Amino acid sequence: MTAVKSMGFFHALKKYRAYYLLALPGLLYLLIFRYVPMAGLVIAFKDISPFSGIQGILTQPFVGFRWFQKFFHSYYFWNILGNTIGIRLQWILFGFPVPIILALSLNEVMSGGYKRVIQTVSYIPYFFSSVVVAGLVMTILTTEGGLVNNILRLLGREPVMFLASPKYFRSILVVTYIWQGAGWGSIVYLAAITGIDPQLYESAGLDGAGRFQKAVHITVPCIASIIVLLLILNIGNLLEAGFEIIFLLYSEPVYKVADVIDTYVYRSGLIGMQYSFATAVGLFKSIVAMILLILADFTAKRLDQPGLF
Amino acid sequence: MTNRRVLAILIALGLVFTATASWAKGSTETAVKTVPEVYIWPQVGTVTAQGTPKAKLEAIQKHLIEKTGIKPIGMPTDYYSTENQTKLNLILASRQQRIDVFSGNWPEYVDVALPLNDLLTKYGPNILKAFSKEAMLACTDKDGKIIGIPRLGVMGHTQFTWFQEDLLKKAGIAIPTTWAEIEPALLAMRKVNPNAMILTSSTNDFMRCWLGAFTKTGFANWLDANGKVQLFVTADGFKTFVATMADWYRKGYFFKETFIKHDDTEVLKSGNVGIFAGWYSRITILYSRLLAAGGVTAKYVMPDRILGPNGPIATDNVSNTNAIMISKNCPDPAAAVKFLNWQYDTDHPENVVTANYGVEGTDWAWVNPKEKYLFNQLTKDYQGEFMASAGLATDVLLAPNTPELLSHYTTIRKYALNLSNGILPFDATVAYDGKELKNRAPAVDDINRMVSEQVVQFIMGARPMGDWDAFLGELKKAGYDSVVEENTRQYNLLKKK
Repeated sequence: MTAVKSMGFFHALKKYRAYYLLALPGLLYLLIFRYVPMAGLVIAFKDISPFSGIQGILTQPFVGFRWFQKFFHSYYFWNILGNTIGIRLQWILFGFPVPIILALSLNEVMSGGYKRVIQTVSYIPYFFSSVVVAGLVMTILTTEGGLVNNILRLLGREPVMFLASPKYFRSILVVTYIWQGAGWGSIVYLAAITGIDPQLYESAGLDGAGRFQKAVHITVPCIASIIVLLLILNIGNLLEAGFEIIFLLYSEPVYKVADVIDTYVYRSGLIGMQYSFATAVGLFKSIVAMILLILADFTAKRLDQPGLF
Repeated sequence: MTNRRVLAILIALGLVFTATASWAKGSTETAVKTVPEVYIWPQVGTVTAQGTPKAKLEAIQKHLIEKTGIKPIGMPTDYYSTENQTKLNLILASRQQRIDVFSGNWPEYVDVALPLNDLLTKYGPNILKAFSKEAMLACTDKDGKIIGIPRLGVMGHTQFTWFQEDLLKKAGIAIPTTWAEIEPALLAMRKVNPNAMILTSSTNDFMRCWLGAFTKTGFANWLDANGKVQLFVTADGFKTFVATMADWYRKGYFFKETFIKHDDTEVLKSGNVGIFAGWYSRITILYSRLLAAGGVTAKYVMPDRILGPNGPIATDNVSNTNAIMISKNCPDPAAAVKFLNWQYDTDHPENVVTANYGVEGTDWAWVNPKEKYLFNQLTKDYQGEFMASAGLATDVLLAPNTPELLSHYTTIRKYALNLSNGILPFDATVAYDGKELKNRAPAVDDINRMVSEQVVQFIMGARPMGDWDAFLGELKKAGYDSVVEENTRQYNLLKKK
């Protein structure tokens, strides 16, 4: 049996050698840059000097779960964990549907030229650097000549310090993420929509379905598997609230709603070159992400949806 | 056959030619290699990833070889990039690229920095002469090893209170020199310009400017009756300071967004900043550029010192662990020290100007060759890659004669080493080990966040002053005592030297 399997494998390898060769660079990339560096995770359990090099990974003292304890025992642990999950959940709730709606809307646009213009305009913010985006947000929201506060003044209202207000700060973050990522995120859905059989639309049209009904009863169900897949991946990233935009926009008045795991690790770990501590927190996030991914995949399969695995 | 022979001869000739060329190149390289080399990580803010144009850089390098007998090699990278320090650390850790001279917070680099005691004695007399005993002590570890050359040390010039001169003149008042005069000065300015306000560059900066008006020890640690090193937040008078600032904020004296992310330059451009209490280069460099470009007309002036009930209200800035270091992997540390020593020669300030600005007579020239202080920059394409001695000791030797930078350098020269204009922290010469502090008192980061966050909350009115005792209780709960214990331990250990 084993001999037959081995022959089968090698036979397949020879028969489909072109495909395997095509996949080889990607596999090598994964192996070298994703799997091999996993050995470095051991520094999460050691007290590493940043300049001891590779040798230091082997020779530096083993400290067990000290860095995890430091993280869990931090006075602000629950605050930063809550902020991280809160911001991410807010994004999933409000930001996840936006690329889908954008893709559905773009699919209904008849004019090819107009569609391309809208697509291009919606993609552009994705390529702006976080520093530029943060600068734009500060300029728009400042009380001194900012667009939003000028409108409020015209309406007879008092200006609001949005970036200093815990009430508004998370919403500003989520809106910024949506503005930056919606266009780019719609690409996957648009690609999935182009794979839908046009005959389905024709049949529905013959049955008297309007454009909205076609979108709801044909387009959405046909791309449901992609939606579920991406939702599972987003749930897996529940502890990734983003770093750059938060770091560039937050300040003391909003720490209690905006200080997340990554900004905490930056201050406590990276600035002081405590790479072991930063690695321990990263490992914690990865383990939680893996558990959430498995749970989300299990749930999706129970609901008769295709999962990730 | 004939063709094959011709081909064989041509190949053979080609090989011989190539070998000869390589040998000749090798010989030339051998000759060049006898000049010691020093690789310098950028020390000045003018260096960018593009670097100086190659021809210019080589010309200045050649000039420096003639002057010092040492070949400096610059490593272009964006000095002000947030990734600069990370990149440096990665290169030092990986050892894939040679770096001989670099700078940073020396306790973090003890594993890679070479002790300099013998080298300084042998090759660095100018360096030793340029610094006080206290400044060198601050760069010495507990075993007496000098790990770095002080870059900043204790500074008396970094935080000042600046007043808009035009508003003062129109209001008919003199520049305030006491704390009690500051609020009336602002109110007088507001009669001229109702939008006149106070701006600060950061919470820490403005506490360094003004906290001395309320506490005896200013923005620094203080020693309690039991010999414990306490943080400024628990000093007598700090609560009154916060309450006063909260009252000023409520009255609208401050720029509303002064405690959140904002662009100081844009706010200064508005012309409404009557008082600026913060980092000096916002005025001496950033605002000077605006003035030079003609974008603004208002000027800012400052008194030498402002006195409060306890003496100066500013606190001297202790950045004593910031140092220039030589890597343990440097193959010729003697050459590195000699190159640095040449730049620190106070009898020949043209040395450091050459390293920073280029060749005398071609790239720069003294305004008054007898005085040797102000100089005119004749070219601007050299970025300063070979400037290894950046810091206070050399900044006081020179001043570029440009509208943008003259104010900056003359401020440094006048005030940097005049520590009597501010409160000198009692532990100014103690180089606390930040890494050891984080290891033994992990709560230190939580305490730092709590203090900065809650001070701003109180000032902006998000938290009432009635909660002050509750805040002190939160500090204790977060581990304040462990931070005090570790600071005290280090102070007692390090102050003995």
